[in-house]
Amino acid sequence: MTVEPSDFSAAKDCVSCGLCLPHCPTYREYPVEMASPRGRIELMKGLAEGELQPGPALEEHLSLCLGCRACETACPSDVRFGHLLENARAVLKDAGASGWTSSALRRLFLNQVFPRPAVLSALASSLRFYQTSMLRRWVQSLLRLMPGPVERLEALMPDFTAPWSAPPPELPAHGPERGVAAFLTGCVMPHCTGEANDATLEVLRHHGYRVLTPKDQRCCGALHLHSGYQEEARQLARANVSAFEATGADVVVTSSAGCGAALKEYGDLLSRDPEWAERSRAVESRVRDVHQVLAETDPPPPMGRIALRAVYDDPCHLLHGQGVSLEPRQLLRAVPGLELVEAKEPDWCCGSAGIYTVTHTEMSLRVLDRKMEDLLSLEPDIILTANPGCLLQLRLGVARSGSDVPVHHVMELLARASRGPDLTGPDELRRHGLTGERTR
Amino acid sequence: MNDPRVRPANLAEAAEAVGKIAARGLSLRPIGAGSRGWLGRPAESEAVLIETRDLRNLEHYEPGDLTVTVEAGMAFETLAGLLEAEGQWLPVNPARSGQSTLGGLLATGATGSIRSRYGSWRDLVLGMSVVLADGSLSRSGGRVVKNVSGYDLHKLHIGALGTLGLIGSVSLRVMPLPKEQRLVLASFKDRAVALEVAMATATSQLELAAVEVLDNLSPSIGLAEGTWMAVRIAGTEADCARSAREIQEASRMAGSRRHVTLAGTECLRALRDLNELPMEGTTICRISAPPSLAIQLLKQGSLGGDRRVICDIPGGIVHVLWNGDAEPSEIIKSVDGIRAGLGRSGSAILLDAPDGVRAGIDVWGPPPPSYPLMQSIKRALDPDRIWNRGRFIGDL
Amino acid sequence: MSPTVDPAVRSEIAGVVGARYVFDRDEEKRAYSYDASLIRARPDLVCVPGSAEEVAAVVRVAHRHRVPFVARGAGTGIAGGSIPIEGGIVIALTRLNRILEVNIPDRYAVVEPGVVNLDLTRRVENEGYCYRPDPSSQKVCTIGGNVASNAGGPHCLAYGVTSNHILGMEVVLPDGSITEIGAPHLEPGGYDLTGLFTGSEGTLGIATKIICRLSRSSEAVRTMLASYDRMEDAAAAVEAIIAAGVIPAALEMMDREIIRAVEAAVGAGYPVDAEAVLLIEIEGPRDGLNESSDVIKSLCLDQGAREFRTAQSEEERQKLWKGRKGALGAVARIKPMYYLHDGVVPRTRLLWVMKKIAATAAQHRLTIVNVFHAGDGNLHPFILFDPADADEVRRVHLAGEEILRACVECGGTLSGEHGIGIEKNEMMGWIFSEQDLETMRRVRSAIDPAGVANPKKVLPSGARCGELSRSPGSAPAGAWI
Repeated sequence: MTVEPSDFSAAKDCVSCGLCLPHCPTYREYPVEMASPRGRIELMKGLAEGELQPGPALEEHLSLCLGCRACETACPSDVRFGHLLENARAVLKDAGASGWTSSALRRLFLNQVFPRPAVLSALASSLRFYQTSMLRRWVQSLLRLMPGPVERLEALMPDFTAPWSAPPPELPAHGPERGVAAFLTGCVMPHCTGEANDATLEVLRHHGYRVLTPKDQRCCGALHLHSGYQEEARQLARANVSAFEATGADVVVTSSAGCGAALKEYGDLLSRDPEWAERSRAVESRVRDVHQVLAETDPPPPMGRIALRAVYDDPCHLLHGQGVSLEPRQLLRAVPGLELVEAKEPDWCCGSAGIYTVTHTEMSLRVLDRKMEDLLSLEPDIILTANPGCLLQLRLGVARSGSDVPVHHVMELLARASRGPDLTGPDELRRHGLTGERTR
Repeated sequence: MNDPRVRPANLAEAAEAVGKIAARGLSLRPIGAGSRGWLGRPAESEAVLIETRDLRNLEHYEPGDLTVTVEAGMAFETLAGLLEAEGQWLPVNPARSGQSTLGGLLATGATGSIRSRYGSWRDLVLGMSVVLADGSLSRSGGRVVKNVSGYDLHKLHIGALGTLGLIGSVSLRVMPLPKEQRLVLASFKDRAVALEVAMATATSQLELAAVEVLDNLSPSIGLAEGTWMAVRIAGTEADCARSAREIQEASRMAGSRRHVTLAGTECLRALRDLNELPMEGTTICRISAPPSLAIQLLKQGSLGGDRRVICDIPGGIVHVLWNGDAEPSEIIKSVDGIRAGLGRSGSAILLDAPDGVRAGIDVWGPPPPSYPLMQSIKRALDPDRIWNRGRFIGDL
Repeated sequence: MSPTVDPAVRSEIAGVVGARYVFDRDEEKRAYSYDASLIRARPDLVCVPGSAEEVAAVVRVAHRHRVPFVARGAGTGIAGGSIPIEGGIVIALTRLNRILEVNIPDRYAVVEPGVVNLDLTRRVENEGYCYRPDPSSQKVCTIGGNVASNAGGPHCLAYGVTSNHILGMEVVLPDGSITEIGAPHLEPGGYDLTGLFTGSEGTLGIATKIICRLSRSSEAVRTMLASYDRMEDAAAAVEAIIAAGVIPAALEMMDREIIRAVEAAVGAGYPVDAEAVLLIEIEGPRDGLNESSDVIKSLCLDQGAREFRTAQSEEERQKLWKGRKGALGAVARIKPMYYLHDGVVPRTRLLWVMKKIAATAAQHRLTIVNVFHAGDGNLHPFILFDPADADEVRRVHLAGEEILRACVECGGTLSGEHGIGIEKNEMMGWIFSEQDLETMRRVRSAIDPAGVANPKKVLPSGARCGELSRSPGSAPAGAWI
């Protein structure tokens, strides 16, 4: 077993005050103690003490966690919940206990698909041909839970119709160069939300960054870590440390909140590996979310006018995982004409949480529905977020709600603003979208 | 009345007397100043009166703690005097209560117009010592302002008409006297308008001590004819001045032609007059309801028109008065009508009524839904029903 | 040790609430074995009913089989009130979380017991109303739990505790019958059962609907912070403010250690080198606030405040409060565990008891930090310790007892707002005679003759309770501290 009782020492910091409870989406939707952060920590304490054994009950309760880490933000004692959960899931996985929800599906994705660009690409191609199989069945099951017209099916599917090809290894800054950024593309994004990646590159360059995209980068390993596949995550981390340290870039940038949060913990992940500990910490120290990088650009580059009412939805792994919430708002407020409105519960998870939508569909949808009610009550022209999983989930939510509000990555909007001409309002958005001509 | 009576000199004597009398199977009726003996049904059987007049010690008073502990036979005005000397007061104003003992006021649950601002007895009592039916002395609560140690049994005795025991001593929270007080009086031609202005006043963010509407009572309080709104203001000079100004202005806008603000001794005298309305021979029905329902009743039906009423607006407490010459059958009909109008949403009890009225109607009205639970408590604390037999709700 | 629940009971309860909401695996029992205190005991069964009728049906099953039951809200109690010390059934009320009625004209709301305290205020604040009781855990704790423990909060100084804001409730009695007590108006008639049930810690039944009084929000609020180099001066300022006839809405004190912990946790802007700070809030019509705040300021400065400031914006005000409300969790930054007490002293004995606490800490070589409702004389000493250090744990108990003894000695009481629970029930003899306790027992058994509602809580167990005091090592069965 790679996890030791000492890995749960953070659980001792929990004084069971319960202040995390109202911040936990699963507890709010299913108000039993085992579905709360405090309850989960208690179960993990039991696991560490050896009083509770890995088995169906622990798996059931610990797998229900979205891993949104909202509890960490709420915790007055600074309990590192995300870290505890990863360790607990590793114990459960190593114990090979049965009943691990959709474990086969999970293994398929984690071991066969995400780490292998070729496989992922092939899968994406086949989906592109006819969006089918498991994913389709999943979508159909979501639809059954959804009142409303079935023709919205298309809207729910990630858009695999436009293949995204990796950018050249080096792209120059637009105008004078302010710095060099190494870009992590992420493993899923190229296939589902390629526009966001394009937009990120474009905005970085517009802000004066030369962008390097190392070819030998891999999946960040976040999903593996969240599912207890720590060794696999470490292998991926080593590959990425190696790829990114070679670039010599000032900053390692990603526009995927989940990937960013994982990269920012590489130091911890490889801390027991003498060969990699220092190197991973060095790379980790250069990792920034793209919003952090852009928000520091002084003076900011000129932006075109975008006359839209927008709401920004915080990805959990940006808000709770990286403590980044002001920067995206700051960037959006700087866009002339953009009216940024705030949700009542901006810190409520959308229910995406990696492959949670697949493994815990019902809970995922309940969490999502609450999110959508909040967002749509604001009557926005556009919903913005900063993580591919959230992007897809929110699109699903829009469709489930019978709405047609477009959902985009913040970078897409910023790219449109930096490209000009002015976007005159929701009508134009509906007719032409944000992307317009694809530029690189 | 020639009932046998005992007059213990201290709490220990009281407990001893109760034990002895109860052992002989006699009923006991606590009595303080006798100023509120009119409340409740006629006694079911002869009872030994146990007088508390000599239980009037000040047990503990530390002004800095804002708490006081006194024996229950102390007169309300005696306590008020002790507190006033330290710049403090007990913020309750039951009508005609100067001579009443604290025990009597507690047992009858007598409160007044300022309860919505300062709370009633249940909010002010911190602890109590009570002589129980078996002659034991039992205490609950304490004398600090916050206390969740054990059951708040003392709350059961408030308004219980002495049916669970004899209140021996009580600890109360007190308050600093308000820096300033004002009384705004405004008259209206139309009761409905007065009620509306009063409701708006009571739900404003001004912190008022009392908001009342008095109708058809004017001569007895030296006011001119009409419906009057009386607003009592307590606070700092600045608060009082602004509140008075705004209330007068609102009254004027609503068509009040006479409105006045009283301050200083004039204000105090008027407050006392309001509180000391002479009531001899009068039948008094006290309605308690959600304020909007109370106001609705006052605008229509059996309470409309020329009925004499005093309504505590934020409290939803209405006192309806009948003169001594009113026909008992008419009064009974009215009270039945009021009770029907309230249904389960409010209560109407007869605080005082001539025998002719009492004979024809239950002064307490129908018992509340939790009556069986109250019976359980009565059985636990007074299994032989020695306390004030027959006078309270049902067989409590 | 505790009897396990008969399979028949389990299946009957599953029939009532549905299998999805019945739990009895080890993991689940463990998850319902604690609250925010240090006391633990496992239930034999947990159920999470979805309606008042389901609660009543579960209680009827428990009553028929003579299985003890304990109601539980958010589990934020600090006296073990919701710990199933005798095993049996935990009835979690977290699904009963609907606000059933809001009546603004008549200023009340009807809520289910699982409604979170702050959610009620949030629901009505746009209309200019609020629910006054504000325990520090108000973002989490439920109104049902507040009613059970008669919860307080910083603002009870001006507005009173939970009991002053509850008009009535629907209660499932220990035999499973449902009754209404009180009413949504002031004079429901008969005995004040609402007053009796509030603060009875679940020993008389389970509230399934609660009628809460709503209050008009104050027009203006002003929040001030006074810092002191000596604890004595801060305590003297509290006494001076109360003596001057100014009753703030809240008057809170925090000592040096807690200031530092809070600053590290939430950055509330307290001066980290002060020995004590007072957080003072006044509310009311805006006209009067200047006068009151001037009086408070000069009294604070007279007592040697080295700094006095007033929050200049709502944001700044929230920040000051965030520190106070987050104190409980932040304490864990100093040491892994704490034992929190809740004694009350008459306000004029504040300074005396603070010195006593300091002396107790020194004598037992313990760190004791204080954050409390100074205006009410309601202390909250946190005795910090490491659970791994057995000798320290022993000293923690001794110190806790000494502090509570001191409170009682000067005319105070054992608990101001947290409740007696299973933590202090054996100390009840310190403040009540055997006769007093016997009367309470009589009332309790009149309502729960079978003794199934939260047994062993509030009242001391033995006949000798008058003399009995809990010594370390004689912790109740099932509790580990």
